[in-house]
Amino acid sequence: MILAVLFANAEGNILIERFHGVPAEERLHWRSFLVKLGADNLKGVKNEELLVACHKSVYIVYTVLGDVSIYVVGKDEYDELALSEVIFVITSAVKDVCGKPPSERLFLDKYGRICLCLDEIVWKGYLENTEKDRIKRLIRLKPPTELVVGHSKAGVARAFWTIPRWHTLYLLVPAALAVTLSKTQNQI
Amino acid sequence: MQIPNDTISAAKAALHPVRTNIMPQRQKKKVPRFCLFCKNLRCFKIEFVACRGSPVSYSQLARSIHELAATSDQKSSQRQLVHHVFPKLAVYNSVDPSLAPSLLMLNQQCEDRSVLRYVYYYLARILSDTGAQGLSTGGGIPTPNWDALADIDAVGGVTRADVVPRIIEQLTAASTNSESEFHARRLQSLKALTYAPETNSDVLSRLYEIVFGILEKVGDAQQKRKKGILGAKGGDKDIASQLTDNIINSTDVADSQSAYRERRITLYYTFKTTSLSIIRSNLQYAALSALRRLPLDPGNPAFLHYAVQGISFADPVAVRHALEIVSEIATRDPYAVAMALGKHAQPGGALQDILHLHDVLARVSLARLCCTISRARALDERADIRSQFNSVLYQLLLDPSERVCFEAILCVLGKYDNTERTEERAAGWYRLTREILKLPDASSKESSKDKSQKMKRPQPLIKLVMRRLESSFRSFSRPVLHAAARVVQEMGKSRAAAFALGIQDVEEGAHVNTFADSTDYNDSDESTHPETMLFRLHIEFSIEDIGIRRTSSVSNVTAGRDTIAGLLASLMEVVRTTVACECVYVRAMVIKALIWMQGPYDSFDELESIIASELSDPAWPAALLNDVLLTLHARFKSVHFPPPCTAGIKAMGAIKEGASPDMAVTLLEIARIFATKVPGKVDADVLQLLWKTCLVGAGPDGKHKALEAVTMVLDLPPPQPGSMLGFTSVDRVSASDPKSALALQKLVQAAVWFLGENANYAASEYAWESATPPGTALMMLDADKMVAAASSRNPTLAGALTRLQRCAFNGSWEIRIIAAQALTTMAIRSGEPFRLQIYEFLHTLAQGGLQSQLSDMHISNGEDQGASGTGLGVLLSPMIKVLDEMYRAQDDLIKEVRNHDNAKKEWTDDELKKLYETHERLLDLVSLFCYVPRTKYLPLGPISSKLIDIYRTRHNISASTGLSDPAVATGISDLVYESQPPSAEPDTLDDDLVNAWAANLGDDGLWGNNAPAMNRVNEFLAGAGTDAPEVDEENMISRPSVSYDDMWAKTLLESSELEEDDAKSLGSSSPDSTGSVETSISSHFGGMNYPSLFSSRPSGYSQTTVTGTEVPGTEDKAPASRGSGPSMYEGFGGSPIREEPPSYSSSVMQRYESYENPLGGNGSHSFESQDDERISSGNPQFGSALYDFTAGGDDELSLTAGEDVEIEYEVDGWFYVKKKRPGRDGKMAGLVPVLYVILLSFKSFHVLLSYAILAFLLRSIMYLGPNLFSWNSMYQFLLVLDLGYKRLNVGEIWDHGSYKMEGIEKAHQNDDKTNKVQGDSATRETNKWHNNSNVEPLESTIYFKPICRTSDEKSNKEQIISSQKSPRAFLCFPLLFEFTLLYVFGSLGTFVISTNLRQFFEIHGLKRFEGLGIVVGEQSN
Repeated sequence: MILAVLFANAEGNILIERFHGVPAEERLHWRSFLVKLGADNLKGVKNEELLVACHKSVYIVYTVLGDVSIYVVGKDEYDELALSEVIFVITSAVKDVCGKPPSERLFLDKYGRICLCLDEIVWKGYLENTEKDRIKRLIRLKPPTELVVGHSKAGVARAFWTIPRWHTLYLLVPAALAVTLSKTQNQI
Repeated sequence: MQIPNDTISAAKAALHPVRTNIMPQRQKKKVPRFCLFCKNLRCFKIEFVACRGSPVSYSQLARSIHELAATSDQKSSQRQLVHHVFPKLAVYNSVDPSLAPSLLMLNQQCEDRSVLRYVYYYLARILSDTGAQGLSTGGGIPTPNWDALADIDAVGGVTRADVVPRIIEQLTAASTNSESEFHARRLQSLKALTYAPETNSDVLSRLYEIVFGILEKVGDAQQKRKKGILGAKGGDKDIASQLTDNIINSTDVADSQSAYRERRITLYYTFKTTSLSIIRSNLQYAALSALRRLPLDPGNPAFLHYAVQGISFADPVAVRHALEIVSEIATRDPYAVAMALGKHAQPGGALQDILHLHDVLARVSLARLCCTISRARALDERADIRSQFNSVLYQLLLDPSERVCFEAILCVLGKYDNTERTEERAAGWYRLTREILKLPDASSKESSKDKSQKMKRPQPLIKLVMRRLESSFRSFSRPVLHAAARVVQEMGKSRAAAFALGIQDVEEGAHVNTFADSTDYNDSDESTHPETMLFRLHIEFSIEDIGIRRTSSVSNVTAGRDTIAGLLASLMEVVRTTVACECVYVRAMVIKALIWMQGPYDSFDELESIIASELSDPAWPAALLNDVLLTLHARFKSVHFPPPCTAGIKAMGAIKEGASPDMAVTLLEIARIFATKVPGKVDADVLQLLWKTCLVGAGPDGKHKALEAVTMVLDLPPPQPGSMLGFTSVDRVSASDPKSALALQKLVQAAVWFLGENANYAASEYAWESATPPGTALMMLDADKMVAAASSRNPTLAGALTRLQRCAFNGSWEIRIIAAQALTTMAIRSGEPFRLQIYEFLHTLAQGGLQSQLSDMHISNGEDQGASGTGLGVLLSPMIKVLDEMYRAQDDLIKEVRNHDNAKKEWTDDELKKLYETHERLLDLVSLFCYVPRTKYLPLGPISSKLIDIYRTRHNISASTGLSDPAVATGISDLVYESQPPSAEPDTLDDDLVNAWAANLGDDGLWGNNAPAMNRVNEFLAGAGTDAPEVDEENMISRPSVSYDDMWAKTLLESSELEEDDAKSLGSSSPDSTGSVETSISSHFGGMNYPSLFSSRPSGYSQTTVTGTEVPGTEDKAPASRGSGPSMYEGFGGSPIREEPPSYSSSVMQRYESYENPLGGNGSHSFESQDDERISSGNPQFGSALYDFTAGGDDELSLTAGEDVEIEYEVDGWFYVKKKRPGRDGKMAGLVPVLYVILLSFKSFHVLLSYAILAFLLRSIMYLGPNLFSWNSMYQFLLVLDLGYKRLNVGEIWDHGSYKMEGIEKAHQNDDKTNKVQGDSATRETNKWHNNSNVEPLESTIYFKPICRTSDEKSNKEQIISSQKSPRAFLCFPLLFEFTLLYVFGSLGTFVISTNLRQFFEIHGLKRFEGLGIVVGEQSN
């Protein structure tokens, strides 16, 4: 069970929190515990460097991403390694939404989408989707798996035609060069 | 579904005045602010800033939603919703139901996917919001602006109960919509629906219906998982062609050009087939995900069927969920799951495919599933199935993901949850060290060809695991390190279990590959199965066998790299280096792993040094350190006390006993490091737990060592706050700040307490079990020889005694007090000569004088206890009194016995009754000090046992008779209140009990369940153990150290005051009150809740006590203040040349007469009065009437100002008080208003005192400079005051110096003489003397009177100051006075120190003042 997912800013203000199966009276304890943990240990930590802690039989993995620190608390099958997976999915989703490790401002700008992502990643205390593309599709209300072939072909075509004509040269010339090169190499 | 128009219009009406332009168009340049919305939760929530700087409130958002929902067909509305409204709404953790209509409308009418996605999100949130406006399950913060929403609610009248059914209805409709275009929304609807409250069975059944419906349609088609999107196979095409009619409803594909038609159609079919399978896979995923969130339904075959079906689905997430569900069901019904899985488990089956599935958690679930099924007892008949799953599990050990590999290792080790049994863990270790991984010939080779070639030779699991762990320990990722350490810890647990069961010893030194070779051919042989092996071990092993093998394994430990021992050694090497990790949590886990991997034969040195060096790091949180300590405890326990299992295992008990004492001592050594290094962080309770387990576990041989290890804590130098420099040694205390210094002191207290409680257990010396009572010759020896004899008789106890004696002198104030208590406990529990030795010591301690003798072993801590001894006299007197009582009663008994023998008389019933009553009374007294087994304890000595038995049988009294007696009830309640397990009760200390107890011990927090006290109470009721030890005739006279003539005289003396005792004095000196002395004292220190092998945790607090303690203290103190130390010593017993042991010293004994004399004719009377007193004894406090109060009702009591009263309890602003004597209205007790009575408890006075003392300290520092000032003395002095005030009742201290006491002393001296001269007629004479005496009766002086003087201090002041005889006289008031003066005049630059204060300094050795020429002698005015 993933007990909690928490986003906080550098000052320890909580931006997003999601608890699952944590009694209401314990939440305050967890909030302050996690924020204190972060304040003690997250100084000077690199982006996405994972830190670990445990509290009784509960595991905590936390990290920092841009201006935001992310805490994930789990127990049972969600041990420190499984939580690493969870936090990896979360950070990559956040990065994906924000385009880079978010500043606090950027994070708040994308707040809604981040919430939707989180909704797709953690569903009632269990990890759900892990693939970036899948999450991206789901938050746009597309089915998790799509017929990529048709779309991608059409997409390529569309992309091709949106490029100004004379620019195609830049695409074609290196391609042709590459083909000839490989041919010559084969001969050699 | 239609939203009722009135709702919408109401919502519209509500938001009428607001336009959408509140929405920020751009948010750039605006830094979001944080505001404290929910102050009570201290949670900062984001407040978005609108373009004009005004924050968007929740109600504005809500209105916008209502408005935009109405125009959702417009692009601009959609954009605003997606970009502005919905994201901001997400900030709030719960969504109020009044939004639901708009959301539902959007759900129905809007086409925009992004909008819809948010709609589903919010609908789910509304569904999951279980409480009415309370905390949501998903979030936790109530919507901050909930109040602001009230108007919307009121207008719309929308409640959750209204909207939830609608939401569910709409979502249900959406999730059953089978249109292919709709399927993305269908997935989201289903997802949102799972958030519906599970308590609603209607919704649940509907959900099951939907999910099963979907699975029925899409689940049954068997399809292979495809590697790529275009990898559609023929099977799909067939299905597609069957289903085409349903799907194709457009004709745009049909091409008029026939040349391409066929190809196009084929292409189209392929395309459609693929998309069909994708839709199917999506639906499968959604259905299984939803199923995973639904409650498990193990009995339902459909549930299991669909879950098993899910294992072969295409979507990896769906597979994961299916596996999770299946593995969960497997824990409950492994047989059904195994049967349902059937072919999946076979080579080439779906489970094999999952090995290569790109989803970590799916593989983790697979590991669990395999583990559960392969260990299932229900499948004992189906070894083939089990081995299939086992083989899958072992293959998971090669998994590239650490998470999966570690899970597989844990599964192999037999750790499923935290409830596994020792045998399972042991079997796990056996499995890990013996089993072989043989890769199946299945298709798995092609994916990892080179690996499989390398692995061609079957690999022992242990080797694989070790390599894997070693490489994990080289990782830089902290989670990986942490997890690896945890795995090693679990390995250690399994190994320890194997050790405990004696399996491990068989062959740790053996070459691992030999197993590989040997099991090559008998792989399928049932005998290699660990469980079977374990069983065989149980049966076949004889102890000698194991003994032999153990020696061989020890010798093989250093064997080559390929032995298990070698592999382990190299792993542990890597583990140890991980201690260097910068993360304390990883380090803690590594240390725990090291602790668990510690074998009983390994040296502890390395672990010890690691821990010692680790602890210096201040980064360690206290919780982690205590965790490590608890791990030590668990480690030790696991070795020595495996939970009782089978008989075969019990037979191997000898093994586990083998190494215990050494291990216990080492553990204690480590515990000591904790205590000294981080005293501030270690929980004394945890430490005591460890001590106790080690003590019990150390076995009979190791008990002495274990106790020694505890006493090492006592040998630590006391923390010296004044001089903290230069602590470098490991053995020195790292108390670098006052806080940890105090904590260390607490630890030392704990140790002292522990020693006192458990020394008797460790020494196996009990008064009631004394195998060889000391002969007469021993008792006649002088003190030195007696000590020598005692230590030869029982060195453990003698050692503990010496330590405690030293503590009673050298420690800080609290430690000395606890040491004194510990000594009393030992005195009560030990037989002779220890009791006598302690008695003598306590006497000396109470009066001082021994100091000079002991000064050679006194390590000075910068203070001098002075001539008054340790100042413990007040505290010691009740203890001494009890011992006195016991000795006196013993002497009386001996005399009586002699009388009867000489006169050849039988004991009459009356005499026996008297004896029995004395016995019971003493038992009461004693058991108030510490726990003793009442049925066995003989306070009157062994000779009394027969007589008491006679009386008991004659009157048919079993040990349980006394239940109606409050005294016994007290004893029982004492036991009931004890909070620890019973303690190897000495009389029933057999191995089983200890084992069972210790097995329970580890479950912290389960103390309550043990209800040991209840056992003991039952024991009481059943009268168990009534058989007192039989004593030989020759041992009857256990304490014949005094001549009978002396005793005769003394008896006469003692009976003298009997008739005098009026009810009042008796009442105040009842055993109860004495008990409460102890009670209060130990409750003061009992705050630490020390666990102990015995239990003496009296509860409650009473101040009556003082009244009882008064008497002996009086006399003890008076001479002490007069004489110098040595002469004191001479005078008081304990002198080597004395013929009489001090216990018989008449001067001491005498004042107990007010107590009651059992031999006197009035014995029964005294008992009655005691009983009366007991009933009324609560926890009275004393007060004094401030004003006159006239009773207004029957239950009220009139008071006169200045009258002193005893406050029984408080109720609604009224005190129920008792007066000393009836007032005008003849009433003794009643209610008075609280305001009319001033409490003489310590608060008001204490504040005053501390203020004065603080002032004094400040002045002193100011004038003397901080360095010259003796902090220690000051600290002690503060404690004196504190203690003196709290429990000794100021009044007592007060009056000791008053001239009245002199009078009494004289009276007693006279009394002595009179008695000596008059012999037999002493009683009458004394009575007469007392009656004629012009000195006030004893009790009136001592008891309550002093107390009232606190209210008129000034009148008393002079008396007290003028009295310079008592060393305690200065303790309270004069100093207060002086300090106040100091405070007042200090600022004028004048030191005012009277002779009285000077005396205090002199006594306490504060010569420094004098040396400076500043203070002493100077006196203004």
